[in-house]
Amino acid sequence: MSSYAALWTKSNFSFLEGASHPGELVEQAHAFGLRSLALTDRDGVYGIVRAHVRAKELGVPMIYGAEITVCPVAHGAWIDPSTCETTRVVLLAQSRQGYAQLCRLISLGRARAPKGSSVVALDELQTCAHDLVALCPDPDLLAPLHDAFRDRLYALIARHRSAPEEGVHAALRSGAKALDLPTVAAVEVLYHSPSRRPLQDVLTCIRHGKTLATAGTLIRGNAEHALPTVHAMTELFADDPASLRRTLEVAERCRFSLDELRYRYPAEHIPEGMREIDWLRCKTLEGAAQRYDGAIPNNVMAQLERELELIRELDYGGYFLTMWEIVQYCRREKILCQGRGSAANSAVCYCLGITAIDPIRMDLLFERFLSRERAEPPDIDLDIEHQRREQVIQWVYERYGRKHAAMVANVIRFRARSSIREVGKALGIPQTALDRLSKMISHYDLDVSTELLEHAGLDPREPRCLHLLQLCHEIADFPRHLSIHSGGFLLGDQEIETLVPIEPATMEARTVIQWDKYDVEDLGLFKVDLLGLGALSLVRRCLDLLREHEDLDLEMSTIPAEDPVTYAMISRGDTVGVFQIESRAQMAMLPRLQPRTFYDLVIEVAIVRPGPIQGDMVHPYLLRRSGKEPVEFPHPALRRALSKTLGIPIFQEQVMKLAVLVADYPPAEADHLRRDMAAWRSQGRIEQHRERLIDRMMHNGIAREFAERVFSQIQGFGEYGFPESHAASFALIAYVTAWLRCHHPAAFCCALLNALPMGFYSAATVIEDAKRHKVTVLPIDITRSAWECTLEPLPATRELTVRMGYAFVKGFGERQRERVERALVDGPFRNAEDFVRRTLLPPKDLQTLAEAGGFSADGIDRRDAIWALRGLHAKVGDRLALSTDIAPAAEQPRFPVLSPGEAVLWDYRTSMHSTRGHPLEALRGELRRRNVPSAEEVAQRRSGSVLDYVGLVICRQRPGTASGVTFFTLEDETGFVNVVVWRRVFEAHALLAKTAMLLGVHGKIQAQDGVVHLIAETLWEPELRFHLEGTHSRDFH
Amino acid sequence: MALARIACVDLPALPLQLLLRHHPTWRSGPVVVVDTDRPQGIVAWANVHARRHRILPGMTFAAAQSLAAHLQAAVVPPQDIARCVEELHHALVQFSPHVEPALHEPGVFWIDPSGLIPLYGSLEEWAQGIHTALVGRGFQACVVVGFHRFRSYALARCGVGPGHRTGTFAWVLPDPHTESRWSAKVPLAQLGIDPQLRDQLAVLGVVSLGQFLRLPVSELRARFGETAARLHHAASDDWAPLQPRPLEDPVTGELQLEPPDADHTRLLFGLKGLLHRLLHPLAERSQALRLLHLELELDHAPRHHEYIEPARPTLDATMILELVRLRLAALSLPAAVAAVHLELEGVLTDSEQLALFRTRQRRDLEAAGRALARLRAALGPEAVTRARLKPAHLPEASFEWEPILEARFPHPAPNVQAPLCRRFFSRPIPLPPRPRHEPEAWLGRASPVARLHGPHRISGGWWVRTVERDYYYAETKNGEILWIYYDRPRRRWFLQGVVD
Repeated sequence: MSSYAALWTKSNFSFLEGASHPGELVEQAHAFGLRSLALTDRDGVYGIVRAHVRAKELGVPMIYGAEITVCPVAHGAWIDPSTCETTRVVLLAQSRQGYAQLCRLISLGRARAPKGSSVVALDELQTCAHDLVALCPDPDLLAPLHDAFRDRLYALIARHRSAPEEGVHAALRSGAKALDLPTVAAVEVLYHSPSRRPLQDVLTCIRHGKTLATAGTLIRGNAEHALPTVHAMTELFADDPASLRRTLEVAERCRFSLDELRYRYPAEHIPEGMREIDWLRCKTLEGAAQRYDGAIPNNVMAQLERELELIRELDYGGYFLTMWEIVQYCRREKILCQGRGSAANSAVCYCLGITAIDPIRMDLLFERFLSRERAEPPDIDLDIEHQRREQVIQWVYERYGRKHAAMVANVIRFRARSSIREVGKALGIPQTALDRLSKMISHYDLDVSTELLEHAGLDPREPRCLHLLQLCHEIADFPRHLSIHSGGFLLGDQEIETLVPIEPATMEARTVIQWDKYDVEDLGLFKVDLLGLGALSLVRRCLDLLREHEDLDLEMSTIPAEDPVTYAMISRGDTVGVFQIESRAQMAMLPRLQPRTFYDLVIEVAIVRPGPIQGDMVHPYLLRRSGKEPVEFPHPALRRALSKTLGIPIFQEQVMKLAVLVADYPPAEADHLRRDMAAWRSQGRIEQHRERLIDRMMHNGIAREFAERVFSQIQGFGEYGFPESHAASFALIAYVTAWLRCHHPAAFCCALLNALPMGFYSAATVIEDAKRHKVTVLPIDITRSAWECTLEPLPATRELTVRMGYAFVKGFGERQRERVERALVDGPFRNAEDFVRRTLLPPKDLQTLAEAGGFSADGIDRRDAIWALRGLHAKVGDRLALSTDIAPAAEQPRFPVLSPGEAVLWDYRTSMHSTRGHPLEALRGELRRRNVPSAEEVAQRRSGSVLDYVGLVICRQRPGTASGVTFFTLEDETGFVNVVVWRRVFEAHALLAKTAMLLGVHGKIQAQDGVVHLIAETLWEPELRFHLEGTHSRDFH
Repeated sequence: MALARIACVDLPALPLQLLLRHHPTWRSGPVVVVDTDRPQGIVAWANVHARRHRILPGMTFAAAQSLAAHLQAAVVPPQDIARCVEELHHALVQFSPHVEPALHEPGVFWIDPSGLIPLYGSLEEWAQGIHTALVGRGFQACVVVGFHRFRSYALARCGVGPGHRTGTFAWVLPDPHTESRWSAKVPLAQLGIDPQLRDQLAVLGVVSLGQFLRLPVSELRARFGETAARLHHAASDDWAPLQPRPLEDPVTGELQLEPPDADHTRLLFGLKGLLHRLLHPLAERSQALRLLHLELELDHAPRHHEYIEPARPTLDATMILELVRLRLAALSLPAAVAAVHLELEGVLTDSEQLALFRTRQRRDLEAAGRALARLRAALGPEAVTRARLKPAHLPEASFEWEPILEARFPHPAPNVQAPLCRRFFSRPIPLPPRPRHEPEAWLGRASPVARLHGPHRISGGWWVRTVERDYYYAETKNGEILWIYYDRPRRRWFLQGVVD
């Protein structure tokens, strides 16, 4: 026997069963010289694209199929495979049509079974048999499948040297003989090499929730599930060479290749007699006329013509029209949306209203978005206000139909933490110890080290721990289960389920395909990305409030541009709630960079990112900007590429240009570099460029130090690098939010509170910040509050104030919202009794609301209100009118009256904020006596002065680029103090540093360019009468 | 007239104390008891070091562990706690026959000191005696002798009171007024009351027992429900009598043999009368014999113990004697018997009248049960077992022997064809190495191997001890089928069994 075809192979995309990557199986098949390899994952085709890509590289002929779970007895709309008897059959696609049948069948099975499983009924299998080869390992299924598959049915003799299977084989042979069917040889391949057997056992345990000691016969009885060599297979079937030869016959029949997938983007509804590209031109020119006030500049027109020609040539018109349609829908529904990413390089996108940045004015390069050479589908990401994104998603389903639209999958993979927990559990290691170990490593680590085991108190020499280390290493990056991409849609002219199976997502009313975005990209399919963006919700809400309360009709596009007052505010680092530039790091950068124009903001958005920071590009840029360093270019060829950023590469495309211009990367390879940067989680892909980049740059006369910094920057770009167009799109939203904050602080605060959770800060910080900007924020009051925060004009001055809504009461969710809003339809609540009777909220909710001060508008103490409300609730079923007065009766027990300080703490406990004051206000007197300054005073101190400071911890941050430094943001009633805690100090005060809500810091002031940091020398716990259970900080992100 | 007294003994965080007794080296670091061994397991008790790290009961283990990286944690099984409560109960009945363990709070006991003072000299010495006894067993405890059940409990739980100042943990309250005054200061948070109620009251500023008692009970009930009202009643002046666990001595008897006798027949004859006498008080308790403890005091030799269990609880002396006879017959004692101590453990049993109306079945399960009991008596309790199948790949791991306690009718699977039967050897028999050309006598048997069928490979166990076996059925020329395997790691052939 010269070779054979492996017909039953399962990769690790047979989730928690297969123990090898598809690529590994293909490589092994290539090494063994197999005639072809069939990838037949359990109820899915999740791994075929990866196998296909690798097989093409190696020249291994692939067969595409799947192992299908079949319920031979009864079927209905819903089958739970755990409660019915199932069997399996291997189906292989002979042709494109067969592949489509296979995908349909899998979609059917997935739709009717619980998440993660699939079952098809026998009659469905019989009706979807066309152009599929069936390999049947179950003797009882031969007869029922005979008529449907006829000469495409084979009795599958799968040998694993196991005693029980001999009986099955005998039955299969006799059944095949009776029906005159051929037999075919196979091994159920679960891994490419026998060394993966332990991992396969562990995966099985994880799948069944067992340990190795208790798994029994759930795990395989031997290691005979590796891909066999030709020799081993010949030996295994020495008594039946005909069955083995027949594998080649089957392989010969299954000629289908994924390259045959002919994908067409859905045709748009276009007017009669018009071509797609004509309709696109029409809409583009219409949009251009609007954008340029009826007079389209020549250079714009020329650019549009160039882009339209390329779009026509590549037949991408439909895609642009789809995006245009989605944007139109959002406009109609008053949903804010804006394209991000490289789409902002396109003038067509700008004119269609998909993006908001004029690429001509910004001098953005269209080729970064779309190029003839690259010939890959354009990628348009559309940001949609996050609270209404689902509405747009459902509209897309409705518009294209569920058979033509499905969301792209996201494969959840094993990382170090999840591997430790799950592998360790299977090995029987106590879970509490595993938890300790897993906490010691970061979320995205792939591996576990011996040192870590020791630190976690485990003995690395113990066999179980040795297995843990080895298996965690092997399982790293293995698919765990399927999730859904945040907003990627695959749209198809033909039914999507003929391309790839569709399955229901966990989220209601969503469906998801079995491929992720990399697969979609590899096959050149079009993806539409609809992403949620909180800042757009904030802007929309704010504009609505301005329209309602200030009679100001503004749109994002009509907000006054280049407003100096707004830039002055931004330059002070006064940006709480401003999109993208509100983080601690951004706030510290703003006074140094002093943005004065929109392009400054674009740089600001892009510069505080891991790429430029890791490449040490930030300080040189600041020095050049302030004129302290001359603008020089590392190479004359880079003058044009780097001139906008003073000779310093800041944007992703500048680095790409650098690779092309001075590292001799041809454009196609530069694109490869870009993709390797994007796949930053796949270790090693970017490393392979190091030597080449640095050597060639040096060869072209660039200093090694600069070349190395550029490479570090490329590494950093892997983690969220920004291209210029993307930074510009974000800068636009940043400017809009900053303008709104600067000129309409009350409306901004109200909108921001209603758009939470988003951004960096909690409601408490937003409220304190608003108060510092003279915005009055009023507490929750049952007679005035709505569910969300509202704007309320003060009766005397008509000044707009913010009234807190019920949504901010802790524990108030959808159930409470429904009751309160239903009751509010009949008008505001008159009093407590009215509230209790109309909402019928349970005592727990009433008590929480009373604790939050919702019933205390008339000065009634909250404790008295609680006592009274509980009494009211006990009598709410009475027909008699209840007392409308909740003031304490004479005979009522006396409760201690809340002090103002306690009132603030109660606010924090029940609503995570207080409109009545800052928790530190009550302590200010005591702090002054101890010579502790406020944040405002700290900001005035000279560099080098030593002081003690006490503040509320609102943020702890340890960026990966900061070599172990932790940044704390502390807050008091006057503002923020940024504290820098070096690793040594952090470790010396680890408990306090990790847990304290109120923190004392002794340290030295470092002030530079208006940016003040307190460098911690010691941390201490203030001994104050203070209990802050309601506060919370944003930690270690 | 002297006022009635009651004492409360509290062993704080008893499960944690148990855990630390088991792991004394953990004492110096943070330790918690969790309800389940999972990261999401809830901390039920935390020691002082853990509390210093701000670890509090109610947190998940994962949260607690983030506060103290070297936190030690374990689950204390309920049966261990129950066993400990039992042990403590036994210890406390040495000080009073009336001891009531708290139903839902392990480690809390109420004791009636009445009538015992003359034995100890004073209440103080009595209380101190209890404390010393408990400390001697390795426990921390607080003993409060008061007048009111709940108040003495409250004082014992929170450790405030007159004794607190002097650092003693055995206090005697002088009068009800003092008890009332001190207990009013007890924080509600320290009492084992419903945490939800405790938190709701704390919001109102009601944090001590005294503040709680000042709330009008009817208003309290309307607002906080029956639990609050019950607590109010318990803490107010209402009298709640002690409900001590009844004491029940085992039924015991003794037979002295003078001179020591080695003859079993005479021994049985002597036991017959004793057993009849002892079964009578057992029957009066509505109990039947579940277990007979036979302690044989030997002449110049260590004592010998035997435990005999009938098929079901019984008062049938003849049957019990028969079981004793069988057991004695199986014994070979090193010396003559000088005395026999019998202890009868009974169990409450239903009236046996129904047995009179029971139709006699063709296959008598009771008779089978009696037969099995005789076998157990004759050969020991492990002698009567049956095989239970287990899901495993290795033949020897695919079943286990379990003792049979009662006979049951068989339930054969329908339509099972009579298969060939594989008989295991209790240990695989090593075979000589297989020579290259398979001489006829390779298997060490009379008949040469005619055919080998296999291999069937079993491998696994890599996480403990790697097993790799190639199994074959070897058919010999005389028709014998042997089940053999080649053990790869050991490079040896073994005979696992035979097929017939």
